[in-house]
Amino acid sequence: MTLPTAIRSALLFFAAQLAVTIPNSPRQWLWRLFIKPVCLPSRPLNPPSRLIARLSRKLGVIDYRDTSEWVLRLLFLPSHRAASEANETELAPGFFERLTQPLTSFVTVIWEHIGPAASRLIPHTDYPAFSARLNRWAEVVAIKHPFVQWVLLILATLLFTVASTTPMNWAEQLVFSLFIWWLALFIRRLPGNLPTLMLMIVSLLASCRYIWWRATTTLDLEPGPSLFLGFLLFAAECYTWLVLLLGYLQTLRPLNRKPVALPTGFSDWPTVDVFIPTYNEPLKVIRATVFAAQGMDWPQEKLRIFILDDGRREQFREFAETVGVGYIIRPDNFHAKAGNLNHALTKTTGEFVAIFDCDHIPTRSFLQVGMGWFLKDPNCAMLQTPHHFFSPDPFERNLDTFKRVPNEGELFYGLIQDGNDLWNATFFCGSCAIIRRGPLEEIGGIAIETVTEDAHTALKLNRRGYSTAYLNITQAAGLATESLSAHIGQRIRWARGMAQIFRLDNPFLGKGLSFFQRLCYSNSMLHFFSGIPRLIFLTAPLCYLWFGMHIINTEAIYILIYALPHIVLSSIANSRNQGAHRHSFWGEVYESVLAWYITLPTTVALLNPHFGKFNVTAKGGLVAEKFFDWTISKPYILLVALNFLGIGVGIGRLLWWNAYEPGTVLLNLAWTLFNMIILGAAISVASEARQVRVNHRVAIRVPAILQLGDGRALHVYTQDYSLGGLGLALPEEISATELAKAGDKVWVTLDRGDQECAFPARVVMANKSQLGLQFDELSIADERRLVQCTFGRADAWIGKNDGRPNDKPLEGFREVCSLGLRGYLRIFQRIRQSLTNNLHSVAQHIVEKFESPASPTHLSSKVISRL
Amino acid sequence: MFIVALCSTCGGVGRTTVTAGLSSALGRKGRRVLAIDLDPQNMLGLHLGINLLSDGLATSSGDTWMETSWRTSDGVDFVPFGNPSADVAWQLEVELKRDPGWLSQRLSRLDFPDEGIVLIDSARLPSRWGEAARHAADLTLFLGHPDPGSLGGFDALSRGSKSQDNIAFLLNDVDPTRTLHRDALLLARNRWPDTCLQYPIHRDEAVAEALAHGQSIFDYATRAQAAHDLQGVATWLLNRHSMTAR
Repeated sequence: MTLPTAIRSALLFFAAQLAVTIPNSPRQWLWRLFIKPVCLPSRPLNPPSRLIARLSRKLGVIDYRDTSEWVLRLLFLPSHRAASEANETELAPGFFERLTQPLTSFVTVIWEHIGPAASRLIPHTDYPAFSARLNRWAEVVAIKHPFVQWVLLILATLLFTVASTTPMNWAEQLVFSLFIWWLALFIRRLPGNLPTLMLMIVSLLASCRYIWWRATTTLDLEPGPSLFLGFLLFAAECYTWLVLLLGYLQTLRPLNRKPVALPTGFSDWPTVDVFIPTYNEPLKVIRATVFAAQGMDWPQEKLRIFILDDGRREQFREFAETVGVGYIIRPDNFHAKAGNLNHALTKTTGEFVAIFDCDHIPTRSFLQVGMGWFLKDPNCAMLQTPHHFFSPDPFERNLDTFKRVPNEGELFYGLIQDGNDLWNATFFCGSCAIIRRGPLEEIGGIAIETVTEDAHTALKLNRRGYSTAYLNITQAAGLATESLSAHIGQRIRWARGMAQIFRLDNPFLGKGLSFFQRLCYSNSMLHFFSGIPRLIFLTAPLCYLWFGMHIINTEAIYILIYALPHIVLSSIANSRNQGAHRHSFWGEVYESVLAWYITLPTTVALLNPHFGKFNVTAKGGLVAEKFFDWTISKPYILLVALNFLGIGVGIGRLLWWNAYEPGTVLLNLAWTLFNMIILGAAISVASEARQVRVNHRVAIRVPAILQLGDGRALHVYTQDYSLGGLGLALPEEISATELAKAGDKVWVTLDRGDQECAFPARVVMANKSQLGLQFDELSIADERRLVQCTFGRADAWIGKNDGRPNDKPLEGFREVCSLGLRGYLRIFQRIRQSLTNNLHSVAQHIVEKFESPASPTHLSSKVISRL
Repeated sequence: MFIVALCSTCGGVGRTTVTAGLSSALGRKGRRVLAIDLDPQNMLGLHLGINLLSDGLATSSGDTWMETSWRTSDGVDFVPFGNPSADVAWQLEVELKRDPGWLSQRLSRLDFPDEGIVLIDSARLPSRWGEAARHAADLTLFLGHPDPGSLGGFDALSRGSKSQDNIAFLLNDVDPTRTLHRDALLLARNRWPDTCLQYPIHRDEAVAEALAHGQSIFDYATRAQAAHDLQGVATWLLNRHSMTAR
């Protein structure tokens, strides 16, 4: 019997994967599948010569005998070998690439062809000069003729309204869309803030047209479930449209505040209390924070540091006493962190309060950089600096994107806070901030009504007419949450707290806020209501695929030519506006992971804001073994299953049941496919990668002196450091192995401004031009110096984003796609693994039962018993 | 011509070593450098790789002293002190007492480019040689160890000098593993922020090893901390020169 080539090669491929050496033997297949799986590096069938082996590997040809595959690889889908990926080892080498290559190569090839062609259509000019000219015109209009400015504004608004509400037939809309797309592509090339604004306007035009068209022509639905679901979808779309609009307003012109210099005489510098609240974190975590706080450049008699220990631990009290900082406890734990801070306020007197979560290590310059604004602006009540994390968060770790893709929080700290600052609506974020005591006491201390006491406190301050400030200079850094479940837990708390504020102290109601302050606060709260709309988008196409319901009453082609400009242009505008802080399409991944989990808490908090309690974010632990967090991903696996079935039914509809409307089926299928990709990416986050180091190492290059046992001193640079040790990069011509061997005692000297500090260490690793050192047992004084020379350096986080690739919308899409695929691969792999493991143990059990009489121990015991 | 005298109030702080290191560093940067040994010990030659020189500044009369100069492989012109008889040395000291500008006049008659740098390794102060070097110099670089003795000397110097513009302090042989050294360095930097160089020269066995091998430290151990520090001081000197020239 001869098999068709395709099946045959597929069988051979699987045989190679499973290390079945005789594919004709069913016994071996069963053996390998269920009893003794072999984890060999997957190797394509043994090719006749090395040359062919190399070629096929290079091109990604799986079966060298398959001619069609060669043709495919050579002509259409050239192999694009991705850079080595950290998590790859868990998959058979090359296996993952081979599967995703067609897709990634396809996108790349398409782009390579379309990109240049499209760019030829865009006029070439001296973009910076053009942008400067635009700016000059704008200035002329804005400053010299205020009347003209108003007239133009009214005209523009009219024009915009007309342009976004005029009905068009499909051809007109197509031409219009192509035109504004072309316009956006041109504007995108102009540098400066004004073109960014123009891009936002163009994007809004497309979005307004879409939402107007949806509202006016597509909601004529047949009564019943499709009417209900149709309006539900439309509501979700209105929500995203509103968030888009408010987001543009919020980030219209980031303030980018610069530090203000302090007066030269210390006498004018105010007194500052530093609060370090803690509840259940280990002492190890808090030590560095305390030492760094002690190293802050501020007159010693005007700086007091307090540990606020809600855990009331003797060990902490002893530590505080030893290192010479204050220690405050209270009899109860009412209102968690907010209550803890408020209690400390009653025990202290400093004019200002600086607050650090116990794992946020401040730099020495924190107060000098931040305090200037309080002296310049007496009305300023709070100044916030960014939260920076030197360890990867679960997304970055599990997806291996640390230092490559901006993390979830960066959009907020890199752009949104700076945008809020323009409208005097900067939030307090609970840590790395300074608050003026007077106003804080005036509003009754830190807010205790909600679980996000920080944002609510800022809101109360703003309501009282005080200003709040944001300084986008990283002056402290901490540990990110360790596991995905902890990360989600933290976000749930934020979401719930924001919903609580929305209910209890709605920024749109009440006194004391300007219109834009209300907008900024509302948008940040609205953001946390994204759960339900996101779930609606993830399931909407299923209404049609499963039940044949039409929830948008129009033809597929119309949806395409109205929705695509809305999506594409907002992608372009957002990439331009926030690309440095959020790569394109990553928002979908971050939001989707949270969607399920924040839906219920936000809804409950909206209905009953007093329900539930505060949960502390766990930090400082580590994921000991890699595992797949099934619990977290359960809802997504369910969604995947629904979507997967939907695709199956959809294919049936395409071929048989709904063959009369292929456009609609295809559109819904494409939508489902996109959802599947996002869901896959969300699932792949749940695959927790193992963490190895207890002390997180921070990659940083600073000069150091390495003193060897024989008295020689070398000028070197650090590669990374942690509180346990550091890595040194030796100059090329020096071989680490000749210099030192493991166990050697050395001294390493780091500088701290005008101070030099030497630390005793031992060599633990000497490799080519790298030397790994582990510090000896350090005294308290040395440990303090170490913290101050490393994490507390004024320049510690200056180059934190160096070397990160820029955002490219298509690149972002490609990466999210490949993450999605990886998510599915991981599921299949885990299922196979657990399946084979289970069967293996069952089989072993059976085998043991049969073979046990022959086993030596048994035999010997028998022999013994006989004797 | 920028004339720099290297002096100290204590012995054994490494004047000769630092003079040799600095002149090599400057020579390697492509500058014209003239290194003059004004210390009767006559040891600068050894540090520059030229040993046992009997002719030099102290043994030649009039303007013939430049004829005793040598050129090192780093492009440094070097004039030894020479090995004069006791009488000749005594006469020279008498001459210096009568005319402290003895060296300045000799240098001013020299045909040396404006951007060139003259480094004078002088005997420890107080001495006629040291005074002569200070008299000739645009900048006097005082060397010291990170210990109370040297810092006391710096203190006396900074109080005794009318202007702080033409003196600078440089700490040599700093070992950061020693608490006293760290504290002395911190104190010197804070006490004389403008006069004391912010970058010291660290203790490094490679310096002595290079001398034992008869090599410049820049050849012997390029990445030695001391080599790095000397480079830094050389760059600082060049900046200082271009600032005074302006």
